[in-house]
Amino acid sequence: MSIYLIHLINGLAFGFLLAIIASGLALIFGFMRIVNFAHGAFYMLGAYLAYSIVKISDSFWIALILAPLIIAFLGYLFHKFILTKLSSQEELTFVLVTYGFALVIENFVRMTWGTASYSIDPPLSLSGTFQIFDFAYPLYRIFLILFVLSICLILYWILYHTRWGLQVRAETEDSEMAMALGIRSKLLSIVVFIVGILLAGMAGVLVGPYLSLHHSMGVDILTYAFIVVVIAGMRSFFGTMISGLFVGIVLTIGNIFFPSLSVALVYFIMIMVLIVRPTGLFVFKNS
Amino acid sequence: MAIVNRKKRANKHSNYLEEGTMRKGKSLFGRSLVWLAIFPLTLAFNFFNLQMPSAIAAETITVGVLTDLSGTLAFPAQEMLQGFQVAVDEWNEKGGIKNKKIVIEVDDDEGKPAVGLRKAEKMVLSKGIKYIAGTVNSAVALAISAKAPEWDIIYLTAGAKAVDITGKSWNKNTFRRNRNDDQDMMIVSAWLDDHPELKTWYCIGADYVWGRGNVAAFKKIAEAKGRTIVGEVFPEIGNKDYGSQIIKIIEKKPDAVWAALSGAWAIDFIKQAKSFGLSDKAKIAGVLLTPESVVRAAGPAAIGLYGNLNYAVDINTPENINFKKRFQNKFKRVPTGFNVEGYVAAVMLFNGIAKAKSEAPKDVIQALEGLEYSSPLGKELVRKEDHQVLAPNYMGIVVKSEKDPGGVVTKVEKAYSREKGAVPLEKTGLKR
Repeated sequence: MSIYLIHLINGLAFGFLLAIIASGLALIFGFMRIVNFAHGAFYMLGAYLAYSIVKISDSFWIALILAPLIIAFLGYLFHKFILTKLSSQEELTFVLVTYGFALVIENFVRMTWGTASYSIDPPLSLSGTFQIFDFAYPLYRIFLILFVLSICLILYWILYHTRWGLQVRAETEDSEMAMALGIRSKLLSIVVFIVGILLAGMAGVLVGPYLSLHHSMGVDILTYAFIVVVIAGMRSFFGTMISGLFVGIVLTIGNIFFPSLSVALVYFIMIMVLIVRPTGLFVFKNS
Repeated sequence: MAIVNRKKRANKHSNYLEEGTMRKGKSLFGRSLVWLAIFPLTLAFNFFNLQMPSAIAAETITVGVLTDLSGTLAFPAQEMLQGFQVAVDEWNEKGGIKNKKIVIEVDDDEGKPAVGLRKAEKMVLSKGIKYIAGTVNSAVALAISAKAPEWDIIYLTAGAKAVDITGKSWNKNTFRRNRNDDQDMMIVSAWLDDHPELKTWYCIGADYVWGRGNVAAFKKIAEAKGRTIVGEVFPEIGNKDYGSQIIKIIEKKPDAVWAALSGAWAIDFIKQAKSFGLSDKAKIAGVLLTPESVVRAAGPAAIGLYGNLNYAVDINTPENINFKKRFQNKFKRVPTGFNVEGYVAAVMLFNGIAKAKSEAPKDVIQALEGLEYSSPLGKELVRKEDHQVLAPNYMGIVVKSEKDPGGVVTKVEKAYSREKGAVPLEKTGLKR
């Protein structure tokens, strides 16, 4: 019984990572109607930046603060100098532009850090283990779960219990009405985009002590992030969190009992959702 | 007035027409002149172009280096290329081959067989290259190797491990310098004899051809030595989180774990095995766990790991001392196993061309078969029957680095002669 609990916790660890990345993607699409193909690249850049910051400062905590802020600033520049210039264009243009920017970031990472893989050691305070029944469980994974859960709860509180969050949800559900009611969508758009990119950068820092860094990590995680968002519904922040946990658990448990089918199972679930409920499991008619 | 104006306009129009016709006429003539001028210029240019490469070629020997510079094996491929370049510089300093300078033509196969084939074809048919070396990706190597007899080239791999290349897919134009999977497993078999305390094993391998094949090969060797396999698991390819697999392994309490994982997957497994305490409870070994790139990224979590070591920096041969010095001068760092793969592949090829009666591939093939040459690892032999190089091999263990606090390095635990690592011909699947 205890081993299944450990498998579940492992699934939650990966699931929370997916949740925070997919939440940023859902926020950006929900508010701005932009499918941000550069999201995985920002996540990767956050991870590599964190690696360099840890190497220089010898502190994971400094990297956890600094790297997401740098990534968020890059996101702001991208929004200000590229995305806003394309505001009157079709959605396909944004897909192409964000995809192109992803390639730019990937090549920049390759040129700067090379093609070798790297990893970040967890901070000393989190490098031990915590006893769960008969098993020693890594402290860092428990920290990852709790930290991301806190971030998700903070974001949930902001979105559902603050005026700012109300405006974001209004814009997400009906942008014309929101504009008619005087909601300043331009400023909100910048803020939402920055927050979305910041979440991607933060996920990149958090993944360093958990998984290795390599130059295709952005593409790998983006695929799963899109699956999570499709299952949840592109405009459901709360649903994305739940869906992320679900996909993480399915992948982890699936990898144990039927490894050849675990990824296929996730795609199968996504296809069934698209057939049965194309808007996503957590997007309702009234919303 | 209107009539006059109309007439004026008509005249103007007809003048334009005339002028236009004249212009047309002039421009036709002019265009013809231009083409008449371009045609001989084009001929002269092409003639010159065709002559120039031949003129240059007469003074040089060109080797095509086609490898995965941007795909999943980009890191080892680029390391291999660096080693190759060191060999080129060294030989050119000594006058090249038969007083001809060695020139390399580098291209990227992207780790894709179709791309590799296209680029190899371009090297052979458009540039007249007779020697192609450097592939690290087995799928690409098998694809190009199949065309080597038709193109009449020498094809030399420098990292591709699939046994079939010099086994059932053998052809007379293909050579392999690096040790293949079976040769590595021969060393593992000898190494198991040195570790009788490792009685029970759990195997983990990536769920694809190499991962499953390597685990199957290990199981066969281990069971022949009286060891017990207590379990096996094959996480899906691309899996990054090994937490659940590690918990399963810990539950079975094996003496040791055999890990058929490579690159980023190996790094993830090593780090997570440490974080779950598996590396403190069981020894971990694997063919591809101890390359410098993996060990450097895994850091202290890798201490105590065992793995095949196709090269060790502290090998005490004059060739290795020379190679390390040259490499450090050029690249300002210590060489890795992949650097040596490229260097020795070049040395082997250049020795073959130098020994051959002529530069024609058939003569170089004859010279390479049975060729013995010195490398940083010691004396190596190109086995005549399957064109597979036999070379000393090592098992390594990861320890703390003395030079770099906090760093780790793989040291030679034991060296094995080239005969020890030689797979009997009847077991290679060779079809001649």
